[in-house]
Order: sequence, then structure tokens, then C-alpha cells
Amino acid sequence: MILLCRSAFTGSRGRMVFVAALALSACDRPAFIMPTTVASAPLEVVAVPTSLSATPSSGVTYELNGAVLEYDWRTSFSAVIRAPDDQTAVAVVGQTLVLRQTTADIVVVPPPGLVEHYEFDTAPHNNRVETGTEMSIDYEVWYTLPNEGREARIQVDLTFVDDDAVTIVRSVTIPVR
Amino acid sequence: MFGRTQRALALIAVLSVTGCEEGAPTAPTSYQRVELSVAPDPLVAVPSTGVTVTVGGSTFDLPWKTSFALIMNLPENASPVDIAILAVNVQQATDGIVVAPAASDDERFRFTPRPQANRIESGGEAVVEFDLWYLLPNGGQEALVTLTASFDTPAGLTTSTVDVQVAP
Repeated sequence: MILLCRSAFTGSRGRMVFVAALALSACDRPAFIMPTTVASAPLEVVAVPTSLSATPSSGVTYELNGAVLEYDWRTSFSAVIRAPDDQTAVAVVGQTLVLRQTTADIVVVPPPGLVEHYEFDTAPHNNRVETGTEMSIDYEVWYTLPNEGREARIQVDLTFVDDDAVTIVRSVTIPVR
Repeated sequence: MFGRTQRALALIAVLSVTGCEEGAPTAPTSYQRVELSVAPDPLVAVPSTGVTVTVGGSTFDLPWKTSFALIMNLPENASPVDIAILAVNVQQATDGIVVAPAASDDERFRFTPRPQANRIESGGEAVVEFDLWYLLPNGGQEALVTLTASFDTPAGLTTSTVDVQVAP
């Protein structure tokens, strides 16, 4: 396109066409970035309840350095996935859950050698959410914190693929107090 | 000097370039760094008994304890932030110089932060008090404590760090 302009306009006129063409094409830069997810997709994930209470746990154990230890705490919640009418149906293709100790809603990184110990059960009611419907995944979490406390933050990341083969990632964070 | 066509092209060029600056007239929101300080500085350690930490199946007594306050100040022109993450590291030191221990012989420590809130308003201050118990491979009390705080801002997560010495 620029070569064509140069052949049609020479001298200062040609240089101005060149500047105008460059300036206009510079405005189009974002259009060349191919998104891997659809940020504007209306798919919504919420936690129910939005804030959790943990209760003392017994009977569920983990192994640490050859010792069998009981988890201190247990909590449960649901992640509710809503696909509004303008959202293509999606399939749930992946999920992760990370639990971190907190104090006053601030994540407190454990000292070296210490980690949060936790495990979870997940019970999805389906692996697909149709347009205009909702589906929930139930979670049960057992944990022990390095600071021997109860307060924590759970983050669930869910990965979806819609019927147009677009990958969508949604996260929900739930405080445990 | 310039003909009508040239003036029109020049106008297109100017308008096109300024058109790219759509966001410029809006005053940018400031995301300045949160300033960290520690009081007292330097820290003073006192002997401690009864506090332990278990790492890798081994339990260690932590013979030293120090207490301090981490002070976080946000400039007046900065947007409010949430304190998202706090981390502490302890390294043994001699005459103010960090002395890395042998690979298998790490510093052991545990700490208790006591934040009063997790939000700092513009021009505001947040204080988190800490108790820190530690054991150094060289058996001494002189150490360098590094405090790292990460903040949730409208622009994403930002991190600030401060070092403070524990006096010998």
C-alpha cells in the first residue's frame, strides 16, 4: 500500500501520505494481538457461601516425613458456574484449588521448610453448562496451616472450553475465617 | 507553499497521530510504591525458650526472639491498596555481613504477624506488629531480617521490601 502511494505521489506529498498511512496503521496495533481467552465472555463463577467457616477435623490424615497426621480443619463450599443467555455453552475441562494461610485477609508466606498441608474432594454435578443455565461443583477441603491457625484463603481456578473451542479461565477466591 | 491536497494529507496525518492518544487527556491514576520501614531499627533479640519449629521431621528450638513493627506508608497521590501478601526471611550475619550457611544448615524461624487491617488509604499508614523467633546455624543472634509485602492495586500486584539488622 505504501509503495502504491509513493508511485502516485512523489516529493513532500508522498512523504505526507507515508506519514498518514503509518499513523493510521499504528492505531490498529491491538487488532493484531490474538487473545487466547475471551475476557469479555459473560461466564460467571461465584462461591457459595462467599465466606467460609472451618470446623475442627478428625479422621482425615496426611503423611509427613513418615508420620501420619490428622488435618486440623475442614470446610466446604460450592462453586456455582452461570452461563447467561449470551454465553455459548461450555464444558469444564480443568480445575485447581490452592489454599494459603492468611492473617486479617493477608497471605502470610510460611518460613522455608513449612507449607500448608491440604487436600480436597470435588463433586461436579455435571461437566457442562448449557446457555442460560447454571451448574455447581461441590468442594470439601481439609487442611493444616504452618502457623497452626484456621484463617486461610482458597482459590479455585476453573478452565472451560466453549462450543466455539474458545478457552475461558475463571477464578474465585474464598476467605476462610 | 503547500497545495490543498498536501494540506489535507498533513491534517489527516496530525489527526491520525493524535487519535492514537485517546487516553491522554484523562489524568492517569498513580500506582506509587508503598514505602516500608521497621521500628525499632536495628532490632534487638532476647533469649527465648519453649518455641520450636518442625522442618523435615526434625524439631528445632528457636533460642532468639525479636519483636518489631512493619510500617507501610502510601503517598498522598497514590491509589488505595490492599495488603495481599507478607513474607519474612532471616539470614545470619556477622558484623553486618550476611554469612551464608552450609547448604544443609539453614536458618530456622517462625513468626506471627498481627495486622490491624489489610487496606491502606491514600496518604495513609498501616502497621503490622511481628514476633519473630529464630535459630541461626552459627548459634548467634546477629541477623538480617528481610520483610516483603505485596499489595493489590488497580494496576496489579506490586511488591516492596525492607531489610533490617538484628543487633549482635
